[in-house]
Amino acid sequence: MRAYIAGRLATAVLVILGVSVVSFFLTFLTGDPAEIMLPPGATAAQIEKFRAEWGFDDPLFVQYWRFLKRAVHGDFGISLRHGQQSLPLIAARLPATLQLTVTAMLLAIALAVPLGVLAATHRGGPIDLLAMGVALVGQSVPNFWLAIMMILLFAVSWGLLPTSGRGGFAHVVMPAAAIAINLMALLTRLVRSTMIEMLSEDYVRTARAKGLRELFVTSRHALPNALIPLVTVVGLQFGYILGGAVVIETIFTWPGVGLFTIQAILNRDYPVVQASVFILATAVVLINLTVDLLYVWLDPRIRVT
Amino acid sequence: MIRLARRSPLAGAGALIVGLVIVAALTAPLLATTDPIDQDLSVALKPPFWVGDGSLRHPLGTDHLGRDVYSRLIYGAQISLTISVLAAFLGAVVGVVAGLVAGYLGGRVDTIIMRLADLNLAFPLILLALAVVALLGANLKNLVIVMAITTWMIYARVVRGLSLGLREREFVQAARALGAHDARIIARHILPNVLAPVMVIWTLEVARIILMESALSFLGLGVPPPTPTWGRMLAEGRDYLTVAGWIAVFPGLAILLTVLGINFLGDGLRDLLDPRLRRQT
Amino acid sequence: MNPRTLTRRDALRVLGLTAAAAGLHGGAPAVAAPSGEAKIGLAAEPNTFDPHLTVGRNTQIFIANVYDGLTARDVQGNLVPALAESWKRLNANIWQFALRKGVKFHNGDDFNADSVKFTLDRATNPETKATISSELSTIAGTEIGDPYTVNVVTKTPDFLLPVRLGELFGLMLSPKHTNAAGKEAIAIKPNGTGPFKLATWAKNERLVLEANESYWRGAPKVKTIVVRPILEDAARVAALQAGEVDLIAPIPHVRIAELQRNDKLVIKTIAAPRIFHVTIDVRKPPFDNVKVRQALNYAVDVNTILKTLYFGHGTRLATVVDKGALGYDPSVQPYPYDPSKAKALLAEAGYPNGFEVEFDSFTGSIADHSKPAEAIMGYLQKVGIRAKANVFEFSSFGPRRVQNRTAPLFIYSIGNAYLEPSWVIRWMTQGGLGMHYKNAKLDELLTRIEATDDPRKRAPQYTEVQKLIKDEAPFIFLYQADAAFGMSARVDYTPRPDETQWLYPLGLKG
Repeated sequence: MRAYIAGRLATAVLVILGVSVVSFFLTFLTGDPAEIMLPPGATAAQIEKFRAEWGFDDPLFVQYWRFLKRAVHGDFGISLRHGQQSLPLIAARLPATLQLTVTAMLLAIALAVPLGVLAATHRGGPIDLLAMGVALVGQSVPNFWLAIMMILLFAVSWGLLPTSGRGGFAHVVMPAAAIAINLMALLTRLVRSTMIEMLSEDYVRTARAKGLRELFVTSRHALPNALIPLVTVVGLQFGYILGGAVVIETIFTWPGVGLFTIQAILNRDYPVVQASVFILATAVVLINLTVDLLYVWLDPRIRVT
Repeated sequence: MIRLARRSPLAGAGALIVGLVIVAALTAPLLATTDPIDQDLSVALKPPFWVGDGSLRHPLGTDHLGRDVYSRLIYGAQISLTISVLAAFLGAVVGVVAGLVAGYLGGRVDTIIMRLADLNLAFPLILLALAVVALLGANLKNLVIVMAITTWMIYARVVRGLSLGLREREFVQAARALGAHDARIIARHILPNVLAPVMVIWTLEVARIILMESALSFLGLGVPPPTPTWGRMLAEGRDYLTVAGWIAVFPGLAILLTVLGINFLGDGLRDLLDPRLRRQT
Repeated sequence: MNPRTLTRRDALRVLGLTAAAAGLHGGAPAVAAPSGEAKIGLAAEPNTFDPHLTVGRNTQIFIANVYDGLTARDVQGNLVPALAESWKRLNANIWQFALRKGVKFHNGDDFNADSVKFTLDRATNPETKATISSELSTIAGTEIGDPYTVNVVTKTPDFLLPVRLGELFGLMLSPKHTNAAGKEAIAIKPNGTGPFKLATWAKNERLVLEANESYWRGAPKVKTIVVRPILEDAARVAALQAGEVDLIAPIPHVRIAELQRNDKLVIKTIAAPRIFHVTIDVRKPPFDNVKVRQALNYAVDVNTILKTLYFGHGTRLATVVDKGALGYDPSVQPYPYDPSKAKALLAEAGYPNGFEVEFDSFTGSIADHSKPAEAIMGYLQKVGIRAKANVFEFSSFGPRRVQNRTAPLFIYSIGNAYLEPSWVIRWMTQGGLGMHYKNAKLDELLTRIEATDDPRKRAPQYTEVQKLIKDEAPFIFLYQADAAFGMSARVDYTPRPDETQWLYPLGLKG
C-alpha cells in the first residue's frame, strides 16, 4: 500500500515536470511577444532592441533552465502585460474558478444522483425514459450555445438573473449550469447503470429477500457502492470541467483562471501562460492522484496492476 | 441494419439520424440550393421563410453577408463530420496501438505510454487545443491532428486495461506456448476482442470531437472562413443573436441533433455489444 | 484683434483662451462637491497603470483619467494646454514648455520641471523597457530652465512633439513617489495628477476610480466610477439594458438600432479616427500595375459594406485621411463601385480572367477585421480575383506583418491617435514592416508639411497628398467606422472624437 502511494506520488511529480517542459516549449514556439507589445509605430530595429532587452534572443535550453530554476522558487516571471509577478496573478484568480467549477460539479451531482436513482428504480418506465432523454440531450448540447440562450432568456428577456460577472448565487447559477450540463448527463447515466447493477447484486437481493423496504435497500446498500465510480468519474472529469470553464468564463466574464489564460495565450504573455498551465495541470494531476488513492481506500478489492 | 434497429430502437434511431447527416454531407452539392460562400449583401439578414419578409429562396434565412443558411448548414455537415471522423479515427488508431502495446508488453513500455497518456490528460484539453492551433495556425490538417491528440488517451487506457486481462487468458497463453510472435498474437487474438468496446468509444468520441471543434470555431480558431462549419456559423450568428437569431439557432440545433444521433448510436451499440462482452470476460 | 499679423504666440494664446472659455479653467471654484456613483462597462481594461508599459490603445485611452500629459484634447479634438500652459518651438530641434503652477499629484507631491525630466528620462531609458519608447524616440533629452520651464531637445525636427507629450505618451509621473514605490507598484497603484484616483482594482472584475477633489481643472462631477470589463459584446449590452451599468463602450453596430429604440437609453456615436484599408503589396505583380490596384478599388462596394456590416455607422473614405483629421478634403471623391470598370481595367492590364491571390485577415484586435475582409473577398471574387483567405489570431498576425511575411493583400486599420494625417501616411508608406509602398513625391510633400508649424497652413497642403494617394491606389480604400457609446438616461456624457475614454466631464442627472 505504502509502496503504491509512493509510486503514484513519484509518477505525479514526473508528470508535472513533463507538463512544465511541454508548456515552456509550446508557448515559446507560438511567436514573438515583442511585436504584439510594441505600438504600431515601432521599427524593426526597435523591436530587435526590445527582444534583446527582455532576453528573448537566448537559446531555448538556456531560457528553459532559467525558467525551471526560478519556478522552483515560485517565480514564474513578471507578466509581460500586467507588469506583476505571474504566479500571484494566477493564484488571485483561482478562487473564482474554483467557485465556479466546484459549484458546477455539486450541481451536476445534485441533479444526477436523484435522476439516476429514479431512473434505475423505475427502470423501463416513463420516468426512466424521460431521465435518459434528458441525459442524452444534456450530453449532446454545445454548452456555450446553451449559455448564450440562457443569458438571452433569463437575463435579457425576463430580467431574472444578472448577465455577467462574479457574485453570489444569482451570478454563479447560469455559468455553473452551463458547465454542469454535460457532466450531469454523464453522471446520470453512470448512476443509473451502476445502480441497476447494484440493485441486482446478490447482497441487495438478500436484503430484499429479508423483506427490507425498497428505499432502505437503495440508500443503505446500493447507493454507497454506486458512489465510488461517481467520485472517480467526477475527479477524472476535472480536467474536462476546467476546459469547459474556459469558454464559459469568457462568455460570462467570470474573472477566473480560464479567462485569464486564454487572454494570456492570445497576448503571448509567456510568463502567465507558463504559470497558468503549470498550476492547472498540477491541479488536475493532484486531483487524479487523490481520486486514485480514494478509490483504493473505498474499495479495497481493487488492486491496480 | 434493420436487425440492429429491432434489437435496439435506440441504436436504430441514432443510426437513422446519423445516416441522414452523412447523406446530407455526401450529397451536399445536390441538396444545397446555392453556393454556400456566395455572398449577396443586398439580401443580408433575411429571416427564414415563415417569418416576416423571408422567402423560400432562402428557406432558413441568410446571414450577415447574404449567404444562404440552409446551404451552409448542408455543407457544414461535410466539414464538421470530416474533421471529427478523421480526428476520431486518427486518435483511435494511435490510441489502440498504444494501448495494445502497453497492455501486452507491460513493463517499461507500459509505464512510458501510460505516463504520456497521463501527461496528455493533465492538460485541460481545450487549452491545449487552443495553444496548439494558435501556434500552428488553423487549417484542416492541424485541426484534425489537434483533436486526435485530445482523444487517443481514452483508447489507450481502455485497450491497455483489456489487453492486460486478455494477456492472461488461456488462448493467448496457448498461442505463446506455440511460439507465435508478439505482434501476431496482438493482431490475431487481442485486437479482435477489443474492437467492440473501441467502436463504442469511437462513436462517442466523434460526438465529443464535434462539440470540441465547434467550441474551437466558436473561439475563432476553427477552419478559416469562408468555409462553413457549424461551430463557425454559431460564432458568426452570436453577434447577430438579437436581430437575426436564426443564424445561430440552426447550426446549434444541427450540432445538437447530430451529436444526439451519434450518442444514440453509441449507446445502442454498447447495449448490443455489452452482453457479448460480458460473456467473454 | 490687433491690426498686426497674428504671431504663433497669439494663436496659442487664443487657443488657450478658447480652451479656458470652454471650461478648462485652472483653479476655478468647484461648482459642487463630487457626488454619486457611475458604473461603466468597457470591452477591455488597462493592462497596467504604468504609462511606460502600456500595451495597446485600450490601455492608453483609459489611464489618461488618472494621469495628465503636458497637452490634452478638447471635446472638438483641438490640442489644448494641460500640465503645460503654453509651448513654443525655440528652433527646429527644441520645444519649450511653460508648466502650470500649483498642480499636485494625488499623494501631495508637487508637479514641476523635475517631474517632466524624470518622466521623459524614464521613458527613454532602455532599462525601463518602455513599450512606448518608439513613439518618443525623437527625444534626445530634457533640460530644466526653471522649476516651471522645460526644454525638450529632439534628435530630428519633430512637429508632433506637443501631441506626443500629451495624453498619448506624455503622462507625467512624480519622481519622488515613483522612485520610492518601484516599478511593480506603479502598475497597480498609480500616482498621477489626473481627475481620478485609482481606489481599487480587482483584475478582470472591477476597477474603482475616485474623484480627485483638488484636480487643477476643478473636481469632476461624479465621486466614484466603477468600471467593469465585460469582454463579450452581448453581455455588455445586456448589462446596460438590465441597468447594471450606466454607460458602455463600444456597442456593436448591429445592436445600435435596437438600443436607440429603447427610451431609457441614450446612444451617442463618434466617427472614430480608425482608418480601415487593405494594404496592397506593390512590389509583387500584378500589383505593381496601378491599373490592377485601381481595379481592386472599383471592384469593392464599400458603401454597401458600410450599410450591411456597419448598419450605416461609418464614413466612406476616399483615401487614408479620416474625416476628423486636419486637412481632410471632401472634394477628393472615393472610387465608385463599378465592377465592369474593374474587369475592364484588369483586362487592360493583361488579366481578362482575373487571377488568384492570398488575402490575410485576423481576429481579436480592438476592432473586427475578419467580417469586412470576408465581404471584400466576396466582391473580388465577382470580378475574377480569386482570393484565398488566411485568418490569423491578431497576435500571430503582428509578427508576420513586421517580418514582411504577409500575403499580397491584407486588411488592417490604423488609429489616427495623433489626429494628424502625416503620421498615418508616413506609417503606411514606410517601405517596410509590411507597408511596402514608397513614393518620393509623396515623401517630399509630407516633409514640407511637417516643416510647417501652423496647422492652418498645413491643412491645404494635404489636398495634393490625398489626390496623389488616390490615383496611385496603393491600398483598397475603405472607411472609418463609428464608435457607439450607450448610456442610461441619467448619464450626461459626450464622447471625444478621438478614441480616448475621457471620463472627467461625466455627470449624473437626478
